[in-house]
Amino acid sequence: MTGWIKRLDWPGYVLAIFLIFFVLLPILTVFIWAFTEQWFYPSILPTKWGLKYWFKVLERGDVWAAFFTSIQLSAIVTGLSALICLPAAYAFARMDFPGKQLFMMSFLMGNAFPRFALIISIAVLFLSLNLVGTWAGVIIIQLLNTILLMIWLPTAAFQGVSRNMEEAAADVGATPLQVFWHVTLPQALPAIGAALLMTFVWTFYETEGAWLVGAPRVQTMPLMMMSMINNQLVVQYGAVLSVALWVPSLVALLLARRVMGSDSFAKGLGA
Amino acid sequence: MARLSLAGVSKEFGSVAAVSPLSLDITDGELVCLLGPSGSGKSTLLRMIGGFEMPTAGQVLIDGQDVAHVRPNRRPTAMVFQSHALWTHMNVFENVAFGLKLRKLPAAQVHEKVMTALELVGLNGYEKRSPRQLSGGQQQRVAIARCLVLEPKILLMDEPFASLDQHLRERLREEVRQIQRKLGITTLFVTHAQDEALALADRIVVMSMGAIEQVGTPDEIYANPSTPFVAGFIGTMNMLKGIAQAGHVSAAGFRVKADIADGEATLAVRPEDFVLTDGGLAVKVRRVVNLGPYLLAEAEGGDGSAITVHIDKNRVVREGDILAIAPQRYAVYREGAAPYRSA
Amino acid sequence: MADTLQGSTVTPSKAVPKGRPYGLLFIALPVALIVSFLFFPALKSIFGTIWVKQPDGSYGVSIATYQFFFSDAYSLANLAQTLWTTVVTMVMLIAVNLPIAIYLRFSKSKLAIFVQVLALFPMFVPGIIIVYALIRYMGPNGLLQTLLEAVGIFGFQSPYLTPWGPVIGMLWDAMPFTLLVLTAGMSAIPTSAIEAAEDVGASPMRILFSIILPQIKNSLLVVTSLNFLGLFGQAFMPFMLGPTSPEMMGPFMLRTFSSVRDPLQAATQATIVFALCSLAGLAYVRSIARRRAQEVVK
Repeated sequence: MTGWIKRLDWPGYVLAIFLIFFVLLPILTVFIWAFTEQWFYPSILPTKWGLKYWFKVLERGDVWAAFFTSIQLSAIVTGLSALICLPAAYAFARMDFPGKQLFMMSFLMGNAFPRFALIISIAVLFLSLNLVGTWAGVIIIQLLNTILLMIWLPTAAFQGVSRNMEEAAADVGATPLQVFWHVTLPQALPAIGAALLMTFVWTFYETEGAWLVGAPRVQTMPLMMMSMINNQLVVQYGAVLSVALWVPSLVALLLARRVMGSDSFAKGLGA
Repeated sequence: MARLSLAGVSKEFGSVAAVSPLSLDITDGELVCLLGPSGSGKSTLLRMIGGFEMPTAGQVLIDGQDVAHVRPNRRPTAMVFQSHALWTHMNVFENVAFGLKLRKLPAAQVHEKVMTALELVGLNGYEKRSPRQLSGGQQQRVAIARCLVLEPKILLMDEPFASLDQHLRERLREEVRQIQRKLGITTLFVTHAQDEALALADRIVVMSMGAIEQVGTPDEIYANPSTPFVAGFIGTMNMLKGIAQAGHVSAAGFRVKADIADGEATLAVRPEDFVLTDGGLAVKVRRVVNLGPYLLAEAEGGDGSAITVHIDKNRVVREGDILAIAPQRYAVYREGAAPYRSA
Repeated sequence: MADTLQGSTVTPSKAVPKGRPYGLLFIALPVALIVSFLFFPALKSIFGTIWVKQPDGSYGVSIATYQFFFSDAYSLANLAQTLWTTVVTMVMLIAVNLPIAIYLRFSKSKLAIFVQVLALFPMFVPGIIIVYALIRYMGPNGLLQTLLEAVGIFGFQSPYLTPWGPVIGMLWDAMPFTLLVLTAGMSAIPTSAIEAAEDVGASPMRILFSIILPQIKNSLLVVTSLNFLGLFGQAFMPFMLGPTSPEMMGPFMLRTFSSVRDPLQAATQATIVFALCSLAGLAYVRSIARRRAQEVVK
């Protein structure tokens, strides 16, 4: 075994170089563009650096409007999702009821459909319900997106709470409700918080549903960025927005992942 | 403090009987150990007393009142779990105080009781620590304090020291014994370690396959195991298969008097109950282990069966030596009959 | 101190109250949501494509929209384009991630941490930013072309707006998920199993094909089926990075729905996508069902 490991060093360098070119440099490009005032073609680095476009972006009313639309949508969707999914997650983790396995499977089945074809069929339905171009339509379609995550992660969190801890609380005189409130919930809270955070960030960046059902009347931040990429001659707008919005969400997601442990995603999807 | 009676209590999980109907009485202030191998139903029995499992049939009587279907939080019992089950989001003080706060006691009283309980388990000064900052032994002490602070009528302990090392186990079990004596609290202690049961218990309940094999003081259980299972489970016992005929039993080359019906029987002799005597059976020593206070010799009996014998450490015994031994105290078990015991 | 073994004299106490299925109440809302906004519209739109309003105003069975789709050269070209993109991307995903997963499993160097962080990094980059970054990086006159020309390599052909554009974008997007599933499968292989194979003289290639690949069969199945579903149903990446003619089914459906304003034909296209993906969906559901069954047994 050891001989093989020693010989494995060069593949590491090959992979690292590939990933630098494939993953790191594209992201770096966005960062460079965000702080560029002028960049003429054959030059490797910008010909003029500066923060000019940051001020320009921050002055635009439509950017702020889209930002607040997205924040509100994400907050509403995350809140609703928690309200709907957390009790279900608790039921899946701790209660016994007929058809439990079947229902759990039916949630995972959402993965077994091609996403955009589903969105199209939902949009066809929304057309007949006059929900296209409304907030309600966007909220519903984004809510559907979050259900799997919001049930799966908290279910794992509730299951992870040691039963002995709950029994010990019942033993010292806590009613079932008190056990839940004082022991189960606080123990599961970090993971639930992580799920909420991820739901919020994912919803904020959800593009396809908002695009098909919301656009052009409900203008979210990703739709705003899409139009900037496609129609704007000024490259920097997109770069500035990307950096400004993405860095906080990156920090949030990294925090969430720290709480959750590395492979719960993969496990959740049936790996 | 309380009397505990189990009357015909049984538990089935689906079609599997974890505990067959059994009855047991425990008097006020007694410390009883439930001893048995894993899967013997001892933990299930304890959990039924604590209210974490509902018996399929039967009654659990505490001071004459049936609590078989009462929730744990309404029972005067308190349980120490094997995994200590401390709430990791609360500190030591909060863990111990939680039950008192649920009872809406005034803060000053809560504080006083918690401090008393922590002092009892030797953890004063640790109240601000998080359970994660404590050693395994300290965590288990907090769990004990958390139970005692509620002044339960019955203390239940489910293999509380199983995850601790031998040295710590011995220290903690002495402390538990002292605390139990001091408070006079009726205690049930589940363990699979016989040394723990022998050292701690007023009485031992030996369980196997969901049924009680024997109930008795440690001395009784050790000296007079009433079934072959108990004989084999407690301490070391040579169990020699043989035949009973005409008031005698022949096994592994021994022939001893036994007032028992004819047929297949088992001769049970403890290693320390053999004597070296000229008229005894010649056995060949295969291996000698020095256990400090005495030597342990593994020898081969007449029919090749292995016999373990304790020998005085002053005697020189080597591999290959021939010893002449005879059982001085023994028992004979026969299926369907009461065991015969030598005088 | 009476202790008796016979307890049959005691009358059995009242029957244990069975747990009532309160759980159903807890899961009712999300189930209702899934059924009414996922399963129902999917079935309704599939049904709606064959139960069609006739010229005389009545409703009847008709497969006209399907006849149109399968006789329309443009629709068929789009379908072929989608299949090509999906298969190429899937193969590339395995080709890129399997070596990384193997490397991460067996290397303990600092370089491995670097590789892992970089490979999982796209997970934290929203699609819209990936698209933007890739356009700026590999688009015409982008940073990649500039860098290549700086070291004397000319003739760079940008994949942007070619069929390779969506392949690269989706490869970026699906890489972390694929890697996570493969690493999870890989970490379940005991080191001793591999050491034992080495011990009996198996070469690294032999170990890969006889030990590692069979052991991660389930992970590969999950990755393949989920990636197929994910890639086939993509709309955003192909729309932003791919060519407009022929285009993938995602943008095609989108355009049919919102630009051509023909929801019936869009639903027909969606139904064809459902049908083509049903095999992958079935494989995925079966693999998770098997895994859950194992968990229940445990």
